[in-house]
This record gives sequence, C-alpha cells and structure tokens, in this order.
Amino acid sequence: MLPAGLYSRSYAEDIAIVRTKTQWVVLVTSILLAVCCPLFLPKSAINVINLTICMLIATIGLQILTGYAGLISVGQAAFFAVGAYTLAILSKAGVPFLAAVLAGGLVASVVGAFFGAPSLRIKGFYLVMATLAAHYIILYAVTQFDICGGQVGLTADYPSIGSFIFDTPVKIFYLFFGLLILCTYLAKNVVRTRWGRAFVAIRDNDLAASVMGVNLWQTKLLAFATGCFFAGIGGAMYASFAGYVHPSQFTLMAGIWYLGYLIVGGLGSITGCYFGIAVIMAIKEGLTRIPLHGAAVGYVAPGTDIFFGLVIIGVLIFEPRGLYHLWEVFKSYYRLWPLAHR
Amino acid sequence: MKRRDILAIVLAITLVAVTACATPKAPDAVPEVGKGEPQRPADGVYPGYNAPLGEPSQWSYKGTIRIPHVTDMTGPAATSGVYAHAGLDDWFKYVNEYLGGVRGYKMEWNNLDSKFEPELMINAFNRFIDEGNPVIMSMIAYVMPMCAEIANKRHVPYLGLSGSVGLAILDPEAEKTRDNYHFQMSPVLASRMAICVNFVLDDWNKKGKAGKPRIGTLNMDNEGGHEAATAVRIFCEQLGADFTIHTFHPKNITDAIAQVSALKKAKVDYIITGPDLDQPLSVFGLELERQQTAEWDPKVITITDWATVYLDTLNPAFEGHYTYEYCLTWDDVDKPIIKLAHQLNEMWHPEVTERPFLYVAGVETSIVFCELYKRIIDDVGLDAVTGEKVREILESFDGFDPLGIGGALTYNRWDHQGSHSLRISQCRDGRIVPVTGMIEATPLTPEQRYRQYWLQD
Amino acid sequence: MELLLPAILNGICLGFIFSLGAMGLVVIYKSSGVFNMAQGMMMMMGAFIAASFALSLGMPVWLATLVGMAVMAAVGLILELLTMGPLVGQPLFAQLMATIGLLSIIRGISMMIWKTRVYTYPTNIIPIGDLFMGTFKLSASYLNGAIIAIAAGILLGLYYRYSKQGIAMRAISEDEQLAESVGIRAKTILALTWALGGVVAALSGTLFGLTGSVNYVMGDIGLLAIMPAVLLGGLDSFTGALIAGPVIGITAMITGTYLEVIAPGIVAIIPLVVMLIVMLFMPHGIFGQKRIERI
Repeated sequence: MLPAGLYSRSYAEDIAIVRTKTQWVVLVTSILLAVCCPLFLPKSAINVINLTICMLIATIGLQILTGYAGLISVGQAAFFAVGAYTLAILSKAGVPFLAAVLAGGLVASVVGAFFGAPSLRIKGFYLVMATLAAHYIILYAVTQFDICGGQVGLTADYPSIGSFIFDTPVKIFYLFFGLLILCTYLAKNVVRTRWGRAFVAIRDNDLAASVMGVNLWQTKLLAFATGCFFAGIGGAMYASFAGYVHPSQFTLMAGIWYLGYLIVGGLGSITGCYFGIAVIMAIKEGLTRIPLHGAAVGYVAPGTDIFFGLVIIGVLIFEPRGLYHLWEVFKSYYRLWPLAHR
Repeated sequence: MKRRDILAIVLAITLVAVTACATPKAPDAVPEVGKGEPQRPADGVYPGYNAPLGEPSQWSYKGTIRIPHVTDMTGPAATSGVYAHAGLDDWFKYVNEYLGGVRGYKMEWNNLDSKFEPELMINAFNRFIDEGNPVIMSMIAYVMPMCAEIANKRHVPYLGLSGSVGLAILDPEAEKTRDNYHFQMSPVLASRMAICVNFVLDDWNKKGKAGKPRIGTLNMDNEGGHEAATAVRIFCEQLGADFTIHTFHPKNITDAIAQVSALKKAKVDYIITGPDLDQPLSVFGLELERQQTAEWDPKVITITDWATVYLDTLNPAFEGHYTYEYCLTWDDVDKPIIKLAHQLNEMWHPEVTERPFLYVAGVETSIVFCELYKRIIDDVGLDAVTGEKVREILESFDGFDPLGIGGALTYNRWDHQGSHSLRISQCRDGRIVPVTGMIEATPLTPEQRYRQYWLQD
Repeated sequence: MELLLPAILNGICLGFIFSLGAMGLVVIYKSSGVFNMAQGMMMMMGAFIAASFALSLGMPVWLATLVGMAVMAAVGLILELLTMGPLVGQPLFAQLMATIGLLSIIRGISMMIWKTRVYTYPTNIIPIGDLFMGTFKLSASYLNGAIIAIAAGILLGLYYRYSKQGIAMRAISEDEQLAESVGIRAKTILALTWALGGVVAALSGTLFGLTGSVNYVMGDIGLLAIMPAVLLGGLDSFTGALIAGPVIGITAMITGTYLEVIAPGIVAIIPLVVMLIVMLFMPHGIFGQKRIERI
C-alpha cells in the first residue's frame, strides 16, 4: 500500500519498485547494513548467513510457485539438489562458476517443468503428493547415474570469477549477497509482468482465469519453471558453498520447511520470504546453542520439535498473513502517527 | 578346499596379522604399530583408575575446555547419539570431580543435536571451526561426506567412531598431496568385514561342519554399505568361503521380506552386515525369525545396533546372533575400567541396570580426548593450538592404550583408523556375551587403500 | 514361482494394513477436506501406547490395542479442538501446513515419552498360528494384520453408511452450511471425525508394529507407505482405499522380490511412480469423486 499523496506523473514513476524517499532510505540503509555486517557480526554467523542466502533464493522461487501461482510443492529440496548436482558436474568440466550457476537454474527449471506437467490435471492435495513423489524419484535417480557420483557424491570447488577465488566465508558472503539482490530484483519483476499477473489469476481461480484467456497449461508450466529456476540457482550456490554434494544432504523435511518459511513470512510477497527465513533460521540456530547435558538431552531436542510445530500453528491461527503483514501494519501505523484514525 | 586347509589359511592370516603388528614393515603398506611399550596415559591424569571412589574433592580449575560434539540425538540415528552421550558425560564428570580435570582444566562437552538435518550439520561444523575450536567430536559425520569435506578444507580434524576407507585412509597418491582430517576410533568397514569373514570360518570349523560356509550380506544402500558388501565378497574369495548374494535396503523400511527371501533362496549360512541403523535391523531380524525353518537357520554377524535392539526389546528374534564391537562391553565386569564405570553408574544413575555398547564407546572417546588435551597442553599450549597442530598430535598417537577399554590407538599420516581390532559377541540370555578376544584386522594392501577398490559391488 | 506366490500373499496382507492406514486419512479428508500429514505420526503414537501398555503392564495385546485406540481418540479430539477447529474455512494451504505443524508436535511428544528405543509386541492380537503352504509360510502377524484390517475397514464403511453420525459426516463433506441448517452440529461432527481418525490410526499403527517393530521412524515411513494407496484409491473413497492397498502392496512386494537385489531402493520408488501415472489419467484416483467446478 502506498502512502497518501503520492501520484504517478509518468509511466516510469508508475512502474518503479522504489517509490518514495523513505523507501530509498530504507533500501540503501539495509543494503549498507548488510554489506557491513561481516564487520560487526561474529565470524561464525557469516557461514550461517551464507547458507541461509542459498535457501532464501530457493524460498523466493517457492514463493512465486506457491504464494503467487498457488501451486503447492514440497519438492523444492529436490529441485535444489538438481541445481547443486548441475554445478558440481559442470565445475568438474571446467565451466566458470557464474555460467554453472545459471545452468543449474536452467536444468532445475526443465526438471521442474517436467514434474510440474501433471499440475494441469492434478490439483490441491493430489498435487502436493505428486511433488512429494517427485522428491523421492529425483533423489533416487541421482544415485543411479555415475556422472552424479552415485552414493559417494561429488566435490565442488569454491566459487570463482575469472582467477579470483572466493575462499573465505566473508568473500563468499559478498558474492552471495550480490546474487541475492539480483535474484530478488528478478523475482520482484517477474511477478509484475503479464506472467506474474497470470500466476495470481490462476491462484485465485484457475477456471475463471482460463475463461479470461489465460493459457492454463503454459502458465502452470511456467510457474513451475520459474519457481524451480530459483531453486536451482540456490542449489548451485549451495553446492559451491558446502563443497560437497551427496543425496543425504537433501531431505524431504527441508522441502517442507521451505513452505514453513513462507507461512511464517507471509504468502504472496517476496519480502515476506526474508522475514520468514530470517526468523526461523535465527530461532533454529539459537536453539542449537542451548547447552545439552544429562537429562536435558531427552527433552531439549524433542522440545524444539514441539516448539516449531507450535510456531507454525500459532502463526496460522493468529496471523495467517505472516510476519510481512505485521510489517505492513506497522508501516501504515507509522505513516499515520500520531493522527491515526481508528 | 579341506577343512584342514581352511584352518591353515586362518592360522596363516592370524600369524601374518600378529607379525605385522610386531615388526615394522615398509611404510606404505602397513602402519607402524607398537614400537616397544604401549603408550599409557601419563600419571597425574589418571591416578589408579581402579582405586576405591571416595567423596569427590573440591578443585579449583584453571579454566574450562569445551569440546564441540555434533551428534544426532533426534532422528533415525539418535539411539547411538543418546547412549554414547551418557558415556561421554560420565567420564568427563569423573575426570573433573575425582582427578581435577586434565592438567587443571575442567573438561566439558559442548553438545549439539544435529537431528539428521544436513543444514544443521554444515552450520554446526562451520560454526565450531569459526569459533576457533581446534577439534570436533562427531559420531554421525561419517554418513555425511560433506562434514569430512569441511574438515579437510578448513584444516580442523574431527574424531568419529567409524568410517569407510574413502574417509579414513589416504591412497598412496593422495598421501603425497594432502592431509586427512577425518579420524576414527575403530577399523574401517572393509577391515571389519575381513574380521567377520574370518570369524565365520572359525565358527564353521568349530561346529565341525563340512564344506564351505555360504555367506550373504545385508547392507544399507549408501557408500558404507557398498564398501562393506564389496569387502565381504572379496574376503570370501580370499579366505575361502562361499559368497552368495548381496542384499541392500533403503534407510527406512516397512518390511524386509524381499531381502530375507533372497537370502533364503541363496541358502546362506551366515549374513554379514556393515553399518546400519536400528530400525531396519529390527525389522529385518523379525522377518528373519518368521522365515526361519529347521533347515534354514542362518546367523547374523552385525553391527552393535542389533545388540541395542536386543537389549531394548529382549525379543527372542534377535537372540543367538553375533555383533561386533571394537571395545569392551558393559558385562566385562572383571576388567577394572568397566568395574569403575559400574561404580560410577551406581553412584550417579542408580536406576540404570544395563548399558549398551555405545555407552562404553562414549567412555573410550572421552578417555582419548583427555589424553589428546593433555598432549595439547603439554606440547603446544591451549593458546597456540590450531587444527593442523591437533592433527599432528593425533598422528603421534602410537599404540596409545585407552585404559584397556579398547584396542590400542595408532594414527599415522595415511591411516586414521585408530584401533585395528574387533571383538565378536553373541546376544544371549539378555546380555552381550563375548565369544572371541580382540581380533586384529589384516592390514590393507596398497591397492586396497583406494576408495574405488571397495565400491565395485 | 517359488518367489512369486509368497510375494503376492505377503503383498496382499501388507496391502490391507496399508488400506486401513489409508482409511484413517480418508475419514478425516471426507468430512473436513484436510489431508492429514500427521497421520503417520498418529499411527506411531498409537502403536507406542499399545506397546507400552502391553509391555510394562503386561496387558494382553488386544486389550493394549484397545487402550491405544481410546487414547488416540482423545488425542485426535484435542488436536481438532486446539488447532484444526480454529482453521476451518482457511485455505487449503493453511490447513495442510497446520497438519505439518501437528506432525512436528506429535513427534516431539512421542520422543519425550518413549525416547528413541525400539519396541516389539510380545504376541499377536488374534492368537492364530502360521499358515503353511508347501514350503512357504505365511506369518501369523501378517495374517493378523490382514484379517483385522479387513474387518475394521468393513465396519468403518458400514458406520459411515448407516449410522447417524456417519450420515452427518457425509452431509458435512457435501456442504457445511447446508448441513448446519438442517440441524447437524458441524463442530461436534468434525471433532468426532478426528477422534475416529485417531482410532483408525492407532489400530493401523499397531498392525504395522506387529509386522515390523515399533520405533519412531514409523511416523515417516507410515505416511509414505499409505500415501500411494490413498491417492490411488481416491482421497474420499473407502472402497478405493480397501482395493488400492493390496494393489500397492503386491506391486511393492513383487518389485522388491525381483528388482531390489539389482537396484536397491527401487521398492520405495515404484509405488510412487504407479501413483503418479494413475493420477495423470485419473486425477482423483480410481474411486475418488469428481467434483464439478463452478466459477
């Protein structure tokens, strides 16, 4: 929602993502803060952030697929794996890092479109289960091909551009942060195009959308391809960051957790992904720092399971629109303060 | 092959193993073990561990050493984590309260539950390295090759319980180019299988049966499982047993009918398994009992998870089968170290009557870490210690005797196995009864040091 | 042939246990329209309760199973009242995620109570012996599973068809507001549905536990095992579940017997592939109801 008194006087102004001075200030400050964060954060946090960025990009893809196009997928971890494997294979063949990342995204989007093809006929819970089957089929397939390293897995090198190798967590952070901004910009724009609006139309009512001239088949395939493209990018980055790709690294639970990030962050907003993943990863990392000793072992670990279940259900019941909605509420409150009309 | 021949071969192999341990060989073929006296923990750290326990003394510590410990305490591999954790904690508590810690420092574990989630494990390893810890303990890392990758890339060693050849052994080429930061306490899977096949032949001869024993395998479908399977086949061919069939299973199974039927069709006498989890093993054991007949009554030689399941359930389906372990068990009360563990348990956990093998393994791990930190403090100093230094110190372990609780530990540049021996026990009468002494493994030949050698099947 | 007959017979028996598990999903889906991802965990919890009553108190297994079913009925009721009730009318995605939250909670609670131990039942529920057919022996625990699953399945179908509550449940699934306007208390009926789901979950979990062991991995594999069956048969059809279970069971068992040795792990994949292919041609499963969409 835009603040009052803002008028668009040209097309360029109308389509601008950043509209007001405040938004510019917030954007620049947050980017500056993020760029400077290696200076004041402990070293151990940087690696966590790097991993989170990889997952965040996959979450943004899922946001487009689930939040915008309304197609629920629990197979995001498998498409993530496709990207990771692509990078590991290509970097062995000497393909430069950025090209390999792009290839990871493209291969993942092809695989995604293949497994998304049933979505024209299958809906609702049936589709969820189809993507669940896709997860197991993909991860079974990678163990069967020698090129994927079978059960041994593949190593991947540190990312590099030209002869510059990103070999410390901080260097990797700057590279990943750049890619993250690029992906966010891309995603923000994708959802504002004709395709993005078609996604929203089929989410709200696909029958109605098709009556209005949206080609359902094309749009759904495209939604899967776009969503999985981001998953592939994230996966490729993850492979170069972790240094190793192995089937055991991609679990169904991870795929389900991507949906959890969306729920907590808020459906239907790219910014929401940031909130969701930041909050959950922060809690997760915080919980692993609880000292586990003696009898506590039996209770802390299951306790975190219970806690996460409660967080998801609590958000669903009390704030179904997620943290992003709270942010919006706060923004409008702040704009109207102190003369808020109740 | 006659029975006499088999006996001769077994004898010859045992002899070779014994001589291999006694005499130094060419460095790239055999680890140099036991030059002279075994290294005992120095006095001052463990004064008379069989002395009667009194009231704990009050100590003023110079500081606290917190050793990171990344293990599943939730998830499919949790059983091992939870049980071993108790052993780890108890021994440090003993060291702190009765011995004043290691060189005046209080020892503590910094436990982290990795929940079988790869993200948590990556984050944990990276975080502990970033926080400046020079060494990590992880029992679960060997199922995730990525942990070894992080350790190797960032030059911080981690110590685990077991692992494959690909993790623990550097092949002759790699030895020249890189260091290995994976350390483990027990023989590699392939060596374990060699000991099992040997045991099967012994058992077969002892029972006075004619012909060769028919051996089949059951393994989890991962790298470790395939290594174990290949090893069983290769050692069957070398040692003169009839290898019949491999069966594999995914991580979790609803039934083991297919596996047991295949083994039954092959009429196996013995089933050898490599690394596995308690869920599939329990399902397999129950199915095996169902399909057993008077004519087909195979024995399973398997990892200690089987024993854990047996102790948990006391189900007759798991009775009479064999498990292998690399250190003593709870029932070895005649050994002073186990007696001490019993006393400690009576004092701190009066409700516990039986501890599985992994508890003892946890105690052994703690003993090794005490010794490691003693050497770190003596040789390098706590402030100057780095991952590389810890690796060098670990590689200086040469026949270190962990208070008799397990085989002597030896690490060298290419061989990070630790102890090279296993003991076979039988599950019976609600206990784990040892049926052999510690059996030394056959040393690996140079071509057996390659990872690919063990991944043929 | 030596392997085929055992594979088929074992597959049928195991398949009926899948069927019963699938019916637990159908019960909840039919009236509330929610696919309960926590069903596997509920099965596990029921099996744990039965096992601990049978082992620690020395109850006969059939009584322990009944206790497990009763406790799980209460658990189902509580879950509905606290979590799913407030979410009625929310979009499908929210309800799906809520059941995933439940999955996490039930797993945590079970782990706190029963730790990560493995349990096995001392005896079968119905005391029958193994069935011998030539060289092949059909194990008593599989027979137990099949007999009880079929009986329970038929009872459940009859209850749905003829009892007052069953008819009310069917009415709610058609149109909740319409049902309320003719005097059906939707809230009570929905709570009853979840209780019934809990009962069925406990029973099928115990039957699973009889054929294998009871441990907390069951929660994950339980759902994976029943999922192909329920989707093949259709999410809202008891008949479908009853028929699709053995189909999946036989498929899994035959692939297991002939392919597992060559290609390990395939036994978990083939049922999923079968499910995907059937869903492509029959998006609502074989017996599922087709709904006509309106704008």
